[in-house]
Amino acid sequence: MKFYRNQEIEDLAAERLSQLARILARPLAPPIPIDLLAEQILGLDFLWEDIDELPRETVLGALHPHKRLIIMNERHRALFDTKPGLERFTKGHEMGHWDLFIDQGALEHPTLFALDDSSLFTRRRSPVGEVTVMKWLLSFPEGQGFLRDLKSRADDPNEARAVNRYAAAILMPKDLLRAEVGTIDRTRWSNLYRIAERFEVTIGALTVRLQQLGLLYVAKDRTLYKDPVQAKGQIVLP
Amino acid sequence: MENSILIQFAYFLVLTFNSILALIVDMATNQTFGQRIRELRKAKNLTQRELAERVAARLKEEDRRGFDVTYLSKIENDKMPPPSTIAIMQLAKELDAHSDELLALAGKAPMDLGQTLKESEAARLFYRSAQELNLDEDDWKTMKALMEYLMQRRTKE
Repeated sequence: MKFYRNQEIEDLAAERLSQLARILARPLAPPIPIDLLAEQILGLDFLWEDIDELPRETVLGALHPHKRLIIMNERHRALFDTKPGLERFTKGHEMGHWDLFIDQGALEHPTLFALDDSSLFTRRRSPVGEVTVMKWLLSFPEGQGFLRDLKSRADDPNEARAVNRYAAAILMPKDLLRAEVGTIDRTRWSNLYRIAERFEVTIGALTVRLQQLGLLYVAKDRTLYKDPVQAKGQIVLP
Repeated sequence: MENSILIQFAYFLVLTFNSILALIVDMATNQTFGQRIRELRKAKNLTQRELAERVAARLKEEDRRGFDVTYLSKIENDKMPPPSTIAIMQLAKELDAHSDELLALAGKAPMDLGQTLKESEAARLFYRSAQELNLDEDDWKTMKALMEYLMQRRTKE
């Protein structure tokens, strides 16, 4: 599993954004056209389709590397319609998996066990066929190892951290966000909501991003401070 | 009289030839309707949602229902058959594409061709005969040359 430092992820995201700006022949402004970036720069396509979910599980989207496809779970369409920021972050998240962790060169070669359709695992559709394949894989040690690898890969917290950082850096580019928050009082929630709307991201994604960049501190009681230093001063010296 | 029917056939054949040409192009590139739509959309820097919304806005209420981003994504990925002839014509307009090409890729006859077939018994007979003859590319070229000759003669008259 490859490990990425935050700065590496920021640099890669900045490079992708600059490639998109070149193709569009104009500087980027919020909201970042994330669909165009996926399609025009990363060569990915989108498909909206129903993705089965296990009990107590929510699958918003999935990546099908062999088909270079981001699959958005159609069963959450209503949720996405009310929260476009969630849809955009889900796309950014899947793009992060592709850009950071998929060995794109290896996709051209035959896959393990000649399985060239990873949808069996990422999409969990066609339950009968999937069960058959699972049983077959579980019947020999290499197959079991393959399944273990897939499971551990999906749950890896480092990968989740990295792809979420990537999504945030794409949707809320550092320079654009700094410029935006520099002109307002960012210790007021109403102003943050306005910026979230402008970047078409959720308020949660925005506050996490601002805190990552050291531009905000949210106290436990949801009081906002300009940065951790101000927060510390306020808390110590009320 | 005989000459007039031939000239009508000539026009009809031009339309047919265009559609068949598109099919030949498709066979040569192996491109599906969905793939072509995606290619045209990307060339215009449009997202699936933008294109779906623009086409839906052009359609009448009864044709618009269900024409959205999820539907378009399925069409592009060949998970759904091509939409109605009306919707394809609006897609062509939004994408600055030739509707005959898209209709041919969708396996649908252009509306004017359908109208010609509907109105003319002779055209229907001619179309059937052409199909039964299993014309190859050289045959079609010969037919096209004949039509051009007839059209030139008609212009001179």
